[in-house]
Amino acid sequence: MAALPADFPIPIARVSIPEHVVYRAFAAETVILNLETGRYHGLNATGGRMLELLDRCDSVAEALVELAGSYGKQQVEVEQDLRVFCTRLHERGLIDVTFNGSR
Amino acid sequence: MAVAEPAASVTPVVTQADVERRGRAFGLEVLSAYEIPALEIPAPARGGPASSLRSTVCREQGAAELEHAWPTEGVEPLVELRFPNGRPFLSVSRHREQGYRIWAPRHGRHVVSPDGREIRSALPRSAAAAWQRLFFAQTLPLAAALQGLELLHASAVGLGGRAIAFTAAAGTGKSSLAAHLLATGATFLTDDVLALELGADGVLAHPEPARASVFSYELRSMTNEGRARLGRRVAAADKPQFEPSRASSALPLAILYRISRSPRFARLGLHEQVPAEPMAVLASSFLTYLRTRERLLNQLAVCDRLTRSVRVYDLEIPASVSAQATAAFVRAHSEGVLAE
Repeated sequence: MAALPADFPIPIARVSIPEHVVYRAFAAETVILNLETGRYHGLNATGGRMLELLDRCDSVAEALVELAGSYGKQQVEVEQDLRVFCTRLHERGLIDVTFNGSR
Repeated sequence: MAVAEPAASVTPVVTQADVERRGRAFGLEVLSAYEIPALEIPAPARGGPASSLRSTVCREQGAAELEHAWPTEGVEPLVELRFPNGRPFLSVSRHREQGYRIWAPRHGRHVVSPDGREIRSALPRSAAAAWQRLFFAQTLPLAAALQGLELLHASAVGLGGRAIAFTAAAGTGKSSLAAHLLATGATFLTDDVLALELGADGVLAHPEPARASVFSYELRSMTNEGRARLGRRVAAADKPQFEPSRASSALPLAILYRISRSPRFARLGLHEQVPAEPMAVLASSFLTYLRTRERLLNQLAVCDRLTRSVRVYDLEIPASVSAQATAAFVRAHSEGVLAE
């Protein structure tokens, strides 16, 4: 699996959750389970919100708009956080990222 | 590196085709062709929570026969523990079709089918307490987990018809705490492995075999009446074992205490996790080598239900505070919580 570069092009990127990954939102945190490795990963409330948006939205750009809106921030203020979040989840095999329909 | 095993030192036994004995532990009905003590249980009390009891058939086999049937290829080592001097301590391996093989020198060897419904065992002639220790601590819990029970490394007792559980790092004192609660009238559920399953409204806690290990110095601090409540003494070792009377059925889990012991704590302290932290619960999982898709998904589901239905507290114990004093503190607190 090729690493996701930190400057990946958000406008044409889309995130999907692989079949071997499930996540569940708890009151305290969100837990991601990688069924291939058997490892659990915990996300705080912000991380959980990011994951939920990335999973639900049709593109990373759309998730960025919603994320900025829900925290009352400019997109540029949260873009870097979202990029780092995506690269970290990707390097752990917890998300797939496609660009214009190609992996 | 594979654990080098000595030649089989167990004596072949007569294999019985029929299973004649029944018992219960870890949410399983255990059907066996040979005597397995500590599994007898009184008839379930009326009105108790319903639970779906799974069954496992246990059969004896000669060690050579058991080893001969175990494949030499396609075997995945899962656990290989050794003593500090390098001698093997515990080995667990898996084969997709044959299941799981558990072996500990002088404690016997077992093969658990992939679905957990059959256990074939070669039992050593050494003291029964030795093979029972491995069987109760590893083999039966594995069969239970393969049949959908979720396992926590925890001690637990019943109070007022509900279960109170304690998780902690090894050596923190969860067994001693449970023993002192038993000595003051609580009902035994487990002193090391707690089997859980989803109930109608919450999580049900099943009793393990009736074996409670208690350090001698903890016994000395109990009254005669308290020691009597631990039941018959069945084995003397560095940690004497007793046979307490168990809960007659699964109990709804009401409170989970996460124990920390440290000289940093000035006094006994309690902090409720609001909301309960799922990663902390998952960190107490038992048999972590078992990572089948079904087990992991069930683990997550039980954790979800537990964090919604169980009160979770961090219990801080100063190093100078005894298990007996902690038990009195916990009993008072839990009775207050249960009365709410």
